[in-house]
Amino acid sequence: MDEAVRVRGLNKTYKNFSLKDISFSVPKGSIVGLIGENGAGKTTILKSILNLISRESGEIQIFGHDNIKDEKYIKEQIGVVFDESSFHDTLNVKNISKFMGKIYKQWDSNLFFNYLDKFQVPKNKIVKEFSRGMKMKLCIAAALAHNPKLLILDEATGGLDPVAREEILDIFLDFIQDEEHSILLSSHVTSDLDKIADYITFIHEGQVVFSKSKDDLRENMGILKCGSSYFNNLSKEEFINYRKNQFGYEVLISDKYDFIKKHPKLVVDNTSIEDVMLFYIRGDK
Amino acid sequence: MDIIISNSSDKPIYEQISAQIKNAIISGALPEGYALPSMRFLAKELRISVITTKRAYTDLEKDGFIETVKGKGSFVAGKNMEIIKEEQLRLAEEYLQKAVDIAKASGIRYEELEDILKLLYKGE
Amino acid sequence: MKGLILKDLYNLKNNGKSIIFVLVVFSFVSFSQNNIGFLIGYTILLGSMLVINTMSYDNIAKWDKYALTMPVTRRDVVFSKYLVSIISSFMGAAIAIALCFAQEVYKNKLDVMEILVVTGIVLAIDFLFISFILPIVYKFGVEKSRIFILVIFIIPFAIIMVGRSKFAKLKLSPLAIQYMNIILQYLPIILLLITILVMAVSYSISVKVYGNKDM
Repeated sequence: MDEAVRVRGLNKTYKNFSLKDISFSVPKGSIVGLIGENGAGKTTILKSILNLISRESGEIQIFGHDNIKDEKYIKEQIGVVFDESSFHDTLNVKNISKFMGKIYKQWDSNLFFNYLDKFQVPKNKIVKEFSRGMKMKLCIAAALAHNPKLLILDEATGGLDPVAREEILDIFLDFIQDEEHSILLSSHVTSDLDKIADYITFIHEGQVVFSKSKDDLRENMGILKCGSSYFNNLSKEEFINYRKNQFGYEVLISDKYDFIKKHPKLVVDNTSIEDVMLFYIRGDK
Repeated sequence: MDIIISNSSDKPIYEQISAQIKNAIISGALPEGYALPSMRFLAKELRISVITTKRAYTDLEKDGFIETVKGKGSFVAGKNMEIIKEEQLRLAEEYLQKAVDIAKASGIRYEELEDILKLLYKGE
Repeated sequence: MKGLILKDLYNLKNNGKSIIFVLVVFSFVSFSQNNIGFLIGYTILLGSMLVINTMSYDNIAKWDKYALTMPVTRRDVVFSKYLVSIISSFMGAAIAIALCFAQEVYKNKLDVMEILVVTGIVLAIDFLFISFILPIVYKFGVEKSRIFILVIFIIPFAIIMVGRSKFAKLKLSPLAIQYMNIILQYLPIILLLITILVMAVSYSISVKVYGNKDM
């Protein structure tokens, strides 16, 4: 079993929105980022994986087990973090450790408190008094403290200052040092994914646009900036799509090195995940 | 061991890594049997994807510079001087070819080029 | 599931001050009247309503979504709420008995049997009350259910009030009285059985409603 998560043919219909035929995987030992606009369906996909919502069709396997049949077994080994703290305002961390310990078989309260110390989360305050960053770190500590094999995060780093974000990304990279561990995270802070993701799955209007390795995205793709004369001479196979402005064209190239060999005089810049996303959503073919 | 990568270089990151490790091995800074950092640890420290470091290590192994033992890690391979010398010779030839192309394109004579080479190699 | 109950108990403890305040006020009120039924009724009712409070806290914290990512089934979540309501009703009963004891001892009118009987009946009524309320809360949410809660609360109260006065005016034949006494003997067991049955049905309904909810 070399896939931590395997989604095939997931379909879910709401009144104004639906997921169509979603298929992708999280290879064991990797970090997979789900990107897409707000409302594209990232959260719906994660909720389906976690069986928080029903689905019309589709097969979802976690650690090789069906996500509904073996739900309880699977959930002992998953740590989940949502975009808001899920703990009640009046609880303190000691309360939390006590009752979480009765929910998870593998809850390690020493580990929990070690993480809290490392993250500098106060032990004697109640959740209401925590800053947003502290609340997220608390949830991450809770997610890690029962030794899960898979972390699932939904927009967990939005709204954090850059320092807190980097601290949390470092924690994820630490988690991944064990190659039995995997992470699936959705984020529209694509710069975070630029840093740590191994694979990127792009969701747009309820469908998977692509699933690629991040290196492929960042190193093979490129952005050509040129005038209309050069643009008109390009053949359609050479690029993915383009954006036109008053003074020229920006073109998304799928194979940068190949392109440079064919057009040595043209300059092709590096891309970021955000660039690619914007091109796909706002560009033209 | 220092490994410095740049996002704005025109070389892919995995190539930058393998080039730097290669140079360190050739120069003797990394002796035979030296244990390289794990791919995952390197990925974490450089804040890049583990797929990138894996590719760099795979390339290094393919070219004979390192050996990967499953479960133990990657180690600097016994130096096969012949292979290395051949590799470096190829590289030098590549660069010299570039110099020759530039000279011919701008009308620089062979003798001028030879003088420059002598200067660079033997010093002033 | 133990963990879920513990979480609710912590939340109740942490929000306990307002509840205790209300309790103190009611104690004074019932002390001035001579009606232990009132005190017992309100105390146990308060106890059983605490579970609604815990559901409100859960809503605010968006806890359910999170809880269901843990090795906890939807049945566990619902069952824990029923258990919490039972536990808090008993806690209310214990406090009520203690308060009544104190009152009656002070007034030198101690009637242990009466206290226990009234407590038993009120507990049963409360469990029935919870059995009606919980499925409604699961279906409509805490806020929308508050009206239902008010209505359903008034009904047993009204029945007891009306029933009491009508009963007092009845003239019963000796045979009827005999039958009544037999019924009264078995009343505790009858009440218990009815309560368990109704709660079980209520639980199945709640599980069905909650089980189909998208988080």
